[in-house]
Amino acid sequence: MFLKMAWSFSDDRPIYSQIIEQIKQFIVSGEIKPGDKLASVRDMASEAGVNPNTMQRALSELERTGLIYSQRTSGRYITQKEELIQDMKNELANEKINMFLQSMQQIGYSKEQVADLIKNYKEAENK
Amino acid sequence: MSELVLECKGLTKKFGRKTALDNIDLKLGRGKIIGLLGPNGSGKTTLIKTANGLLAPTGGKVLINDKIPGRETKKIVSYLPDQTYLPQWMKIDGLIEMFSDFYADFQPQTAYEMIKSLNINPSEVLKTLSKGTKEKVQLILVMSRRAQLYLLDEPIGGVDPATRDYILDSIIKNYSENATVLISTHLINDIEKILDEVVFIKNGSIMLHNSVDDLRESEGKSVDAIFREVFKC
Amino acid sequence: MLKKLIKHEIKATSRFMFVLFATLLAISVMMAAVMRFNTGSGDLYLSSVAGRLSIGHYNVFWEILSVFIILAYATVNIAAGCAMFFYAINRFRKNLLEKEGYLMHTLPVSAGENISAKTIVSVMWTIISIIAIIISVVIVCAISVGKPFFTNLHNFLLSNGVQTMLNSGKFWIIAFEFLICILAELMNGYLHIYASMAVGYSINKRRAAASIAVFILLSVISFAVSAPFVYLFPNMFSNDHIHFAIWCEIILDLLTGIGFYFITAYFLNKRLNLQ
Repeated sequence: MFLKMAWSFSDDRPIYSQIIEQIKQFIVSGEIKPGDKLASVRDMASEAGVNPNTMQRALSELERTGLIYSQRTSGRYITQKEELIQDMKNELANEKINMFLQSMQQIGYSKEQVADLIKNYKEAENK
Repeated sequence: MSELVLECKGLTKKFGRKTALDNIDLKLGRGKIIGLLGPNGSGKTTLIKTANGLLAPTGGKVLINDKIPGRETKKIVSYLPDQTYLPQWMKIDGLIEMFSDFYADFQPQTAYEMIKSLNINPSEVLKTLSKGTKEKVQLILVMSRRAQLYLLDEPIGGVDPATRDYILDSIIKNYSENATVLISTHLINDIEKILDEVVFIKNGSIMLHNSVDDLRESEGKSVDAIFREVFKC
Repeated sequence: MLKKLIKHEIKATSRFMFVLFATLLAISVMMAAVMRFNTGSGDLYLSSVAGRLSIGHYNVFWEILSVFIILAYATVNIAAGCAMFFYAINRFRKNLLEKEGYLMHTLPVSAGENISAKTIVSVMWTIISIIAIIISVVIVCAISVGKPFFTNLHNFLLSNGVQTMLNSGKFWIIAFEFLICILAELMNGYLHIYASMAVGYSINKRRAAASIAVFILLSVISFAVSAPFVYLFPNMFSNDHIHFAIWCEIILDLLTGIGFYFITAYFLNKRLNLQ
């Protein structure tokens, strides 16, 4: 089964780690569902416009963490273990929170101030 | 089959008083897509021509699969020059037949598939085609071989973006663990993502030979940005 | 691989040669028609021109057209004879020393095979050209003179003198040696040209001029190699020693031919300068 995914890469970081991030992103966003079959390394590399070795490296890494598993004859699949996916979601969420807090810090807000800001924001929305 | 598909040992090439290649040492492994990056006149084309036997070294040597360039190495090297070089009177059919005749590793079915997928009529004579189409035909013939070393000299130089994507995609799709593709170019931005390794060449000397991932990791920049720094005028 | 190169070379050159031979055939037929139309009785054409010119414009038109056809016939025949020479030069240059060289020198063949293929095919076309010219002359004679031509030819072949010659072994031996000699001379000639071009095109500028200069130089060397023979054996061209002369020529051609071959191969291998 061939999956059309929207890849986008930035210049300054290794491609393989960006591939890993984006696949995780696709899982979180639902573009790939648990249990989905992935296309061959070559097809995925072609679709993403990246080197096949790089794609292989990323997929191997994801296999190592268990997010992807492979069946020798039929190919690679996204895991169906809900808790692994949930763990990954939480990890991504924490990374994003970290980045957010750092950028807020750059404009002068501490963590406690940020918590207050969010509370006020929520209350304003509810009105 | 040697581990190194291409090796240069102290390779030097002089044209009269001008030194185009200066004591080059280079080792290229298999199963890689490698960029040979440098400004015009840095020696990229000269290096490629010594590898495919069109130029003889002045000093040192170049080895393809542990052999000196000659009849045997030409069987496993697929070369794409950076100009229209095929006999213009020939039809595409005739060229496919000729390549099938001379190269044991040529796959005519692959060539026909690619020709058809681009809506090119195989019974056309080369002379009647546009420049862009001629370049695509040349690329298709080169990529339809199951060679061990592909030498592509400025394949994306003068082409439009859609053709460029097609060329880069066919390089990815053609990938094999035994084969290595060496792409010479000065347009790094466009091809960075498909490269395993890059070789920087300047004034006939190798300045750098590293993997793209490692470079991005250690420098925190794209290879394009690193290139601009290294080759600043 | 050599066979494949020869096959490709024949394919590449046959279009031009076909056009040449077709033109030769057409002009021969036209020439024959001119001769036939104007002589009818088999007299020499030119002697009757004077008589015709005075009778009205219509005949003058035909006379002038006839003259053009005769000139064209002569031109095409000379062209057919020289064509191979110029065409071979052009072909060698275009296919091995210019852009197409990027293809030919990266095919899995040796420089020697490329040279051999070109030489063999050039010699082949030259021999065919000569035969074509002979056939063209025969056509013109046969058609314009008519039946008498064949009767005369038949009688000539059956005459005493010719029969004795055809029956003597010596004639056939010499004819055979002569043919070998022609082959050797043609091969030598083309290799001489190819060597000159391979050397001339190894530099960047004035390549054609350089090729001509090298051609002359190689001719001088060739001559120098053969001169001792002529000096040492001044009687060799007499009837008794004709065998010796022919074989000397064949061997000299082979020697210089091999020299030219290696010069060409060296320059294509080590001094190739595709631009």
